[in-house]
Amino acid sequence: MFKGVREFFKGFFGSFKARSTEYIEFEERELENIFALILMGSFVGIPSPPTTLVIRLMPHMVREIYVMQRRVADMDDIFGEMAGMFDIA
Amino acid sequence: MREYLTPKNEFRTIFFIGKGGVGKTTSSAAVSVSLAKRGYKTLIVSIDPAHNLGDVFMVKLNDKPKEIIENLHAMELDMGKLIKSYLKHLENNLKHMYRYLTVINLEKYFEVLSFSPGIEEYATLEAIKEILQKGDEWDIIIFDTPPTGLTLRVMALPHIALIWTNKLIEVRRKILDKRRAIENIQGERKFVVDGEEYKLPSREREDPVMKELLAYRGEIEFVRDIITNRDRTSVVAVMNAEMLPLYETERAHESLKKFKIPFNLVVVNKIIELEEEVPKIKVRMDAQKKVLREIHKKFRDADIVKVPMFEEEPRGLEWLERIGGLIVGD
Repeated sequence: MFKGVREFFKGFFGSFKARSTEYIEFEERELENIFALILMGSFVGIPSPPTTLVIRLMPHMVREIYVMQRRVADMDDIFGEMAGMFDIA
Repeated sequence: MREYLTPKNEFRTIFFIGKGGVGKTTSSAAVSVSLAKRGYKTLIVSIDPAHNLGDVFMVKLNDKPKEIIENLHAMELDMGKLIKSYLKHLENNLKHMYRYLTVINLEKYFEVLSFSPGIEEYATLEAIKEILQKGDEWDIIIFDTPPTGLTLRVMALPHIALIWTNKLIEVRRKILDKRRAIENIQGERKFVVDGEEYKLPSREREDPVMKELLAYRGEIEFVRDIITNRDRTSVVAVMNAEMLPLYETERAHESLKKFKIPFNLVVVNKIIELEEEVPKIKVRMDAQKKVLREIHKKFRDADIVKVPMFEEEPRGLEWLERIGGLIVGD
């Protein structure tokens, strides 16, 4: 019985916590996306930072590039994402 | 003896710049011989992709310092090789990290990178940095550079690279701030991709990207601090007594001033001196005199050395020492 209550609260607060950081996480992803985009600039013809620096950062950019790719994949549904975040059904 | 060509406390760096074909390599080799003969442990490095330093010394050089005479070592850097080996090493490294990325075709990406604008300048800067980092082995390091255009861009790079790096550090800080904020609520976060789990770094000390950025900034600041320090760096402009090299040297002078790189000496090569009167050559000599007057007017803050045109091409150590003596002064 206690176990059930505990699980319930854990779930309840878990979802509460997740919702509370939703906006910050969105901002974080945006920044990560921009960071990766800046480094990949030479790909799309925008001025890019020192090539040696880019080359040195690349091995550590797994997360940022993953985020960037996801962002590109979801590009056609930006409004959907926004609407979801602001609870507009 | 010119004190801005000799070391003061720490090793001295001398850059020879100038338009193609005015005698940069010969002048720099001459100075290196002269300084070595005076007992300074000297290294001369050619960073011009079209090498001919070895031709001047009449020996074959490669990318390891080779002893020419006592106290004098010379080397030629192979930029193409440098860039290629660098990219190859990295490609293997990245292939391992980014197995999951099928969309980004890495080979294509590297093709773009190796032709991306500025890669040659950055490779040159990188090479200069590596030599300066090991600079304490020498008293004097002399760089024989590619024609002015490329060299000026290389010398401007530390300034520009620092702007980029500082901006990227700023963005990175923001990312880490956000991550910490989320972490405070959610606890440590994991990032799973392709079955592998990574911990999301949120502190500057543990974030490899931030660490790279700060390390890179440190290295660039190291180069910038050396090349803008009057006690450690001198730029010597080499030119002929003709209008076009004069214009180019003037422009170089301006941009070096902008980046606060000390410009100390102008070497004017191939000045015709004749006792007898030859009408056709006299026209040339008068033109040269006119340009020389201009040079004196334009470069008031720098020393000017005139090197006459010799009957034969100045090659070999004796010639070099003689010309070097003229430039370094007694």
